[in-house]
Amino acid sequence: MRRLQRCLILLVALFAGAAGPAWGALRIEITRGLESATPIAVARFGWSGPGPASPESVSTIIAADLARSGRFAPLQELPQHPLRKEEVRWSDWRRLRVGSLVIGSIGQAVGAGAREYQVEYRLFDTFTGAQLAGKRYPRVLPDQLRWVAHLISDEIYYALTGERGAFATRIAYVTETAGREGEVAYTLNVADSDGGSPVVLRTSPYPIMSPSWSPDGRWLAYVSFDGGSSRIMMQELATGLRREVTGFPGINGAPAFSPDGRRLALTLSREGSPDIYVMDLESGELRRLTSGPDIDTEPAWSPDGRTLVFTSDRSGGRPQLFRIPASGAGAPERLTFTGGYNARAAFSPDGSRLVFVHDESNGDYRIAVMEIGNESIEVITNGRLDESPTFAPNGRLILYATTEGGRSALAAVSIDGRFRQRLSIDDTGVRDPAWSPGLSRR
Amino acid sequence: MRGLFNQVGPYALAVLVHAAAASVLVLSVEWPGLKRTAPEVADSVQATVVDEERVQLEIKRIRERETAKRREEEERAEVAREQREHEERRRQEAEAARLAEEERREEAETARRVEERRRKEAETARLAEEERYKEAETARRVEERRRKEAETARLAEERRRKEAETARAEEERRRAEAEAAARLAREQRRKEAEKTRRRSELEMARRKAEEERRAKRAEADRRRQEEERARRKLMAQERERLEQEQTAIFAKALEEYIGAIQSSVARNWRRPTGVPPGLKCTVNVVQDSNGKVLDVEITQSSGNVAFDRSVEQAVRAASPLPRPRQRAVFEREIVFLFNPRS
Repeated sequence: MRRLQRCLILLVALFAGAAGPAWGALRIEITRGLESATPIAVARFGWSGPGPASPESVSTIIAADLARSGRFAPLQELPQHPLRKEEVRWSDWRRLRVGSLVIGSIGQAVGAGAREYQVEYRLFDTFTGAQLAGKRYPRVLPDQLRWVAHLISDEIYYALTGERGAFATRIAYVTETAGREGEVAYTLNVADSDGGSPVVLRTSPYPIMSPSWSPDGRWLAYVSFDGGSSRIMMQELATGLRREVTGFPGINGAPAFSPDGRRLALTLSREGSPDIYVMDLESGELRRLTSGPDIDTEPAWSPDGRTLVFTSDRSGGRPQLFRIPASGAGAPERLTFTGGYNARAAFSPDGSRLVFVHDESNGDYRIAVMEIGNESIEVITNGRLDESPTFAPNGRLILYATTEGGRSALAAVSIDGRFRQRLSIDDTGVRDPAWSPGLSRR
Repeated sequence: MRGLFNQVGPYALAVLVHAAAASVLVLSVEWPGLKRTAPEVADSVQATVVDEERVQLEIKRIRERETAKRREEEERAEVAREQREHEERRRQEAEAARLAEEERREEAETARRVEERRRKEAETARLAEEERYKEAETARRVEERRRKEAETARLAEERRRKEAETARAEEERRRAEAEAAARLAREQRRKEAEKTRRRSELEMARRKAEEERRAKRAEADRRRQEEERARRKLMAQERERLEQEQTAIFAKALEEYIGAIQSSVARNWRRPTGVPPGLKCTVNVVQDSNGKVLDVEITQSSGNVAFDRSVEQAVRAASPLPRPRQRAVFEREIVFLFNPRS
């Protein structure tokens, strides 16, 4: 009878399409499953010391970070908000099929001023009760609380996906605001990756364009129109120190730091038509990479620093993407052949993909992704005027500017295009976002 | 006889030795005889000396007559003669002494020889006597030996006779015993045969009865076995029918069980977004009899942390796993292969 069972199990296992032998055990293949963001619960971080409650909800920031990644679905209604492991009612979470639970607390920092906090958190697997991550930040100033929340988000993200997060990073962007008397003010801003804690770097009645991060995250290069003509500026974030890089007649545009931080690629029209140049930042020496009557602009460095991709109309009419060695030796190689407009490229951090603005010749400018060496492209947004895409330093999200109802805003999209979310920046017009490189500290 | 020779040997040897000794003695006796001739020569010399003295005396008288003429020469011749005479006298004296001594020695020698001859004769007599004695002794001993041998022979004959007598008696006794034993054995055999005969008669009767009983029993067994076979055949048919029925039920139950688990786990599986396509993951799951998941072990990772985690949590979220309608299809261990097709 027992033998018979085994035979049947084998038959059923074969029928079920199971591969490989597994005697003494049923083999069951699971081919279906609801594809969704992973459920997670972030309990409210409690105030663990005497005195008033925490001024800012760290747990809310963490939940928003995780949600914005598109890979997690933080639970909205929580059955409990435990502060310590002993208070966790595991069965509640298991019943809700929430496999991950974050708890934490904020309290007065020990042996520090009244305005310093300590923050701690723990991440649990609710099915096994195992702690997957956990840390205490012993001394946190009030204005550092958001940053600590992003750091915690990165740690949770790493524990659950095995990949580095990009929450504790920053974005630079330009806002356009109308003053009381109708005059327009342009502002260069830097904020946390979620748009929080914005800091104004520069305000001008003249346009500001194309901010670009130095690889160490300490400098921004951008295009200024102060005085009515374009020039490329560099500004140190920590000190506000500014420095003019170029101020040639004509176009000075689209600065891009090389991956080693020693050079700057840019567009100059001092020879007539806009061409791609590379400047040695130490010596100020310029080297021209492209020539000809066509427009060549928006250079982007490959992560290995060996090639540049740029936008050019040299193929006749509409702009396409071309690649050229950073040494300048060699003719530009056309990369895009799909659609009538491909421009403003940026490399993914691993160098395998390009993200750019794409128009299929129907007037809708959308963000598209293309694998290097593969001509087929994948459009990942569905706006009408999406522009300035920039990769998160972990390569999982793409930040871009989108215009809806006449107002431009920032949005993030997962690289497969399946998850999109607006960033909460309440300005009239937000443009030219640039995601910082990976930052270990603020 | 040999013994006798051995005894005679020494005597013969002794006789020979004595004979040899005697011959030596005879030779010794002869040699002095040869020596005896010398004294006979001496006797003749002595006679010669006596004749000279008469001559001398004749000469002296002639000369004394002549002396008158020659006195002077005479005197000197006289002195010389006196001297010569003196010389002669002395020589004669010495010769006389020597002869006397010779005589004495001759006498002593003669005495000694006589004595010696007597002694030798006595010795010879003694030896003869001794020889006779020895011969007598030998004869005596031979006689004695013969006597003893005769005695021994007699004793041996006596012993043989007695032994023969004893043997005869013994033989007689044995014969008697054998006869008695044979008689007894014959009697015994006769009795034994009688007993065997009686026993075999009984045995035959018993055997016959036993055979009859056995035949009856065999018949009964045969009938019983036939019935048993028939019953078994029926049972086997019944069991086969039941097994087929149960197999069908089992297969159906197993199919249902697998389906139930499949859908339960699939329902609880949140496939993570943002992972590459084509990931697969195999987990080994141990459940208790109530379907409660006790252990989830990833045996073949997809290589993606988020995917692996979702798989493990899908199984844990599905706990308790559905229970089968038939306990028989329950398996404590289940291997899940998560292989999304989309």
